Amino acid sequence: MKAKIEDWFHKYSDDLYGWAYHKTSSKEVAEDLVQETFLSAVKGLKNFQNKSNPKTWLFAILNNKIIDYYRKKAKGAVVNDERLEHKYTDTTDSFFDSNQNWKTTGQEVYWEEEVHLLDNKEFKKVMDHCVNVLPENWRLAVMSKYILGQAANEICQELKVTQSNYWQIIHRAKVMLKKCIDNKWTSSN
Amino acid sequence: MIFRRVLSALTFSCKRITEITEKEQVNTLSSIDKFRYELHLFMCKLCRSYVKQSQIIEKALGNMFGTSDNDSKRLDDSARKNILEQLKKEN
Repeated sequence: MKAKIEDWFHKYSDDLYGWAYHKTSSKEVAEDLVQETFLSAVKGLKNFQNKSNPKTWLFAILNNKIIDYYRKKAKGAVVNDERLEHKYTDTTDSFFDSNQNWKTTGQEVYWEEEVHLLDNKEFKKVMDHCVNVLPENWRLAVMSKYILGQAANEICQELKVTQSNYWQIIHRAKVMLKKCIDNKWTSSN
Repeated sequence: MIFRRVLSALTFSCKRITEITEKEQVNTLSSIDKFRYELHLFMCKLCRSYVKQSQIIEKALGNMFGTSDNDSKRLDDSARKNILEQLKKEN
């Protein structure tokens, strides 16, 4: 039993470490996450079904650890997330008029037309800021989907929300990010 | 304003367009709805802009927190030894 885990460790630890490093940009954090992954694997080995691929299984554990890491990191900044979610829901609704079409201001910014936006350091800063001001649940949903590439049903389980609720969160978070970039990107340029 | 009301009556509202775009359901739409979706985008500059912005946001999110160097990373030897010791202590 233990020998099996050690065998997996020799086979997969570098791949897991590489992924954890890529997602956290920190050697220490990535090492800790790999360690926690294998310790969880030892404890959960009886839940592992031999028909599944051990590498996939280990990566699933690691992804949960990465999310936990960001969840802990985000804690403290959030005082009243539920109230914030309501506020942001109202805010995203307010971008549309009574017919559910975009409210126009005549000052729309078409930042998508700019070239090399993704390589632009200022744009990255704006993105960072805009993601950080989202309500915690929204940020976690967005991070799980786009940063970790998790499947919708996994994210729903973790956040304890229904599928339709999840899509609403992703949708609203995206609209919110767009508006935040609209504001910040024009004011910084 | 009037133009958008007519357009949304014929196709979808702008809000609905942003939802459909998000649900990645464009490919699961019926052909008539797919046509309505495309027609809306063709006629509505704001939604066209939104769809492109949405793609940029997704790419930018994918790059976030990640490092750009693609060197294959190896767990270093002291960390490796440490984790193996921890594993031996278990059970």
